[in-house]
Amino acid sequence: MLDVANTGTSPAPAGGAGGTARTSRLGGNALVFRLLRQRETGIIAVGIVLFVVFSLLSNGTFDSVQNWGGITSAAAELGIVTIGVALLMISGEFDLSVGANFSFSALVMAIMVQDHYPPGAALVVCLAIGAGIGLVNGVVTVVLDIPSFITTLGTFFLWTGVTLIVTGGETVTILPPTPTLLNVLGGVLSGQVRSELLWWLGLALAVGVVLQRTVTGNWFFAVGGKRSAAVEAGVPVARTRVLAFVACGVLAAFAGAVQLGHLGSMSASFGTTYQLEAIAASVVGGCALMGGRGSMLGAVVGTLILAMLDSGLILSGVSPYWYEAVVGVILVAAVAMHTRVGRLVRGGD
Amino acid sequence: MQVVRPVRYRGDGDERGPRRRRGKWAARLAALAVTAAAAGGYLASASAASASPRAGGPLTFYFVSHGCPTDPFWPPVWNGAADAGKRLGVRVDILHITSSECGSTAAEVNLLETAIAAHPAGIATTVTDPTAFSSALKTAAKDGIPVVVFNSAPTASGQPSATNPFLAYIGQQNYSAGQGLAQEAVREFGLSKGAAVVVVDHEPTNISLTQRLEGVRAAFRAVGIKPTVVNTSDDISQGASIVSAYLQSHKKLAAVLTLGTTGTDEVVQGMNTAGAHLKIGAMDLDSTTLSYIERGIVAYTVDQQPYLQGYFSIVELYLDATEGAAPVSIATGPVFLTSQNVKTLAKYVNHTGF
Repeated sequence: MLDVANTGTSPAPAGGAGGTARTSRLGGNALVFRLLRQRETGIIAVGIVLFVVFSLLSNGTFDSVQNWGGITSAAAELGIVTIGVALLMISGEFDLSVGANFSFSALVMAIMVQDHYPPGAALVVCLAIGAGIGLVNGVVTVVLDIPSFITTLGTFFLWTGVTLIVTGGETVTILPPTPTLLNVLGGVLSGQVRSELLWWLGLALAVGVVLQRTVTGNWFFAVGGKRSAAVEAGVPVARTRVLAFVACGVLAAFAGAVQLGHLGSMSASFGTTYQLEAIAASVVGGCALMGGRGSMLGAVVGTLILAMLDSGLILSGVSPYWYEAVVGVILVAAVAMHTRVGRLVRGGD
Repeated sequence: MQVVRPVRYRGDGDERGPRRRRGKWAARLAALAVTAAAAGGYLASASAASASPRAGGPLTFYFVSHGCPTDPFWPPVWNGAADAGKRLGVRVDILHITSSECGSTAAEVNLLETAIAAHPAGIATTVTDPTAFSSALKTAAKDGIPVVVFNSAPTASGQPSATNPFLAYIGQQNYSAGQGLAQEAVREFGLSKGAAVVVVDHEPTNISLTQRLEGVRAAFRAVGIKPTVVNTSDDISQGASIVSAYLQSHKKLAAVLTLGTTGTDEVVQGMNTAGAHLKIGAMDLDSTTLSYIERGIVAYTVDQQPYLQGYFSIVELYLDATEGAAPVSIATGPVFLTSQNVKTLAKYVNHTGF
């Protein structure tokens, strides 16, 4: 049902007729075939295989609840950024400034909390900064007609620089007692499991519902697919693209706020890894680099795979030097799989 | 990775017949079957799995650090831990963040949480932030896993607290190292009140360097010197160009101090670019800094003996696990290395890889 935008012209809610026809042509076992036809099935299977392999190799430590508390909190912070990046990739755009946005927005929040402003107000300012950064990215990209890769590479440097100017590079720490809001954002729920996990999954579900069930959601696919067709179909292309940038900016800032809740401190260097990891997670989860395809389920699974690699390799007794090499292999293998499966499902286009 | 199998149909690109369709479903069904079989195997073995990691094997210790794999400071630390493990006949798993995660505190906290989940006989870790490691350290304490901190402690004093519980700190007191760096500069370069001194900070977000800087400021304050801090980055060529630009606009500097090996490289390269000649006092030691001292480019460096930090951490954890000995804090520095004593220290330096 994610292919609706590729057919080009229908801004109607997803769930298209093509799928029904194919299922009936294949006869019975509709559920099994529908499962196999889902873009995410392959990558979920990869995730399950990795989980099983790590669990076997780690002698029962990898699949412990305690370890998954750690994995899910790392995944949640990357995952919230990835939701926005995936949404943007579906719309055919990139955001390389999410890491800088993450650090800058959360640093302003941390400084405000440290200076005894109400934490709620600090969070609102943080999200507003994120939205503002996204808006600038979107407007510059759309109005000046610059590739978003370049726009956001520029704003990545810009906001990294501004962050260093504001903080002098120092880490901002919020010493205990921790304000309640920070615990709500990233505090411990039980054992090592943190509230971040709920924020991540809740946001992914919400954005997923918007993408799959609303007209606006369909616009994101449409502008990322055949843009000329989207224009003909009356999709407000410019507005949709800017909206995607703003959403991505807000989500990056929120991820920063969540990590501030988790760690109690923030610095200019904390977000630096996210821009590339979020793109990697989106791509592993099935987002097409050129837009028009992808899903929130894929973004969640892609993030989870990256997040469990680190811990899985360590607990299996493998040197962490392998982590980046394995990420590289999985990234390329996943894209190869998505491309192949995509072609097979659509009958070789 | 069996699920990638559909790739095998590469050659069938133009075929549109039923064989092709049957093939693709068969491939994916096979992939699912493999997954299901693996899952079944896992479930069967999970019940048999032991509750403790690597039961019956040697004692296992985790050694967690924020060291970038590309930073030459760290291999001696890791060598020290590995050597101790070899001599004691225990397993030491050395965990460090990846090169793309340099500077990410969250990444190191994640490693520490993974190490705790493995319930090893002991953990040595750096703590680079006053609050970020708190929850993980408390969990380790609650689970009865002995933790010693090396290299970077959450406070300048190196003392544990209710927020950051651990057993001992093995490393340099950064504040006193900073004081030593400044006092040696006053002695060595004959600095007096009002002298123009620059301190290059290549990792402004690192709490250890901030503590060193505080020590430098305090020692200089006592003699009436107010140093200027120039912030650079871990990127040596970028840092060198910042230093070079600064030197070209500030020609009359009495001395330049650095807070680590990366900063030292930046200052020496920046100085060469600017064509300046400066009195340099450095901190930490790697092969480049050593050669700078031998060649008289750098007057002295404050060494924290990183090899000992790795080695003693494992020894202390081992004695705690086997003999019940309580780990104690050890100051591995500051040790001053100058052109006078560089030859006598050369043997240790060569053996340890610093």
